[in-house]
Amino acid sequence: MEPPCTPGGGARANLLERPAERGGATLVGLALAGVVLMAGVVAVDIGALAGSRAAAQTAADMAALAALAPEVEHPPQREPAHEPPPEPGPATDKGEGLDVIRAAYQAQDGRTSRAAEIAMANGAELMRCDCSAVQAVVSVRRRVRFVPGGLTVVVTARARAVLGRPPP
Amino acid sequence: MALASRTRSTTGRLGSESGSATVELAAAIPLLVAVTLAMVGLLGLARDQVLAQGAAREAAREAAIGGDLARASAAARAALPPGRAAQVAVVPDGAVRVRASVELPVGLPFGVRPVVIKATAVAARELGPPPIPADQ
Repeated sequence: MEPPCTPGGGARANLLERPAERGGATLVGLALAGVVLMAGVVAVDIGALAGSRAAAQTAADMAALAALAPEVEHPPQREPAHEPPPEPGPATDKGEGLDVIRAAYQAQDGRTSRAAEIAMANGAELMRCDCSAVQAVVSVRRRVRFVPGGLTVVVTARARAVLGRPPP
Repeated sequence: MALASRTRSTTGRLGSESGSATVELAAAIPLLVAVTLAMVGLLGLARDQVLAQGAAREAAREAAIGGDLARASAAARAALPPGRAAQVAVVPDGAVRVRASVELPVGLPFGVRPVVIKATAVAARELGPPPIPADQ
């Protein structure tokens, strides 16, 4: 016959029936599996980030150099030699000034488009190009998709190229 | 009397499961070591990807300033650690661009088949005087 339960006796019996380490191994195993999984995912993502950062830096470098490189496909057209020079005067000076500004804008557009083209060929997207005739500062970005959930991160890179003095 | 026997049996169960967590943890140590090695291998892959990208960039740059294929390949190999085998290919990409590709075989632990890391760089051709020969 079972003895009657006393107020303190039930708790004591439960404590005795639940050993301290029962289920502990399962919990440790689950925690270990989680840590291992997380570490693997983080390692893969760090690798993807490092590779993408290197590719973005390559794209920025090449785009900055391309912005300073002279155009090969469409060389600038020169005026024919047989045409007489325009008459000097206030109106002509104004027209020449506009032409110079227009040519500068076209050259700027050409440099920017060359930089964008090379950045795209290297798998990146041109964000900004502060390009002049002697200096180009280029920023590009590249998207990286992380392994879990397809989270996308944007990696940016910046490069500056300066046209050096030609050798004597 | 019955309480005494229950206590005895509980004590016996406790004795059989005592230390099981420690035993399973000890059994998991090889798994931890294997995973650690695998992560080191993954980080090595990332490092090699960066190396291959740098080599491709050097090859593309060399080809863009007028160097021939041999010079571009030499530039790519110079950017890699000594003794590292790699395949370098430099081809014209249209009239104004050159494309350099580097394939770097990487060995992996646990007898996993080696993987080949590929990196590509595209550069715009630059006009100018031909480069100085390497022997001068």
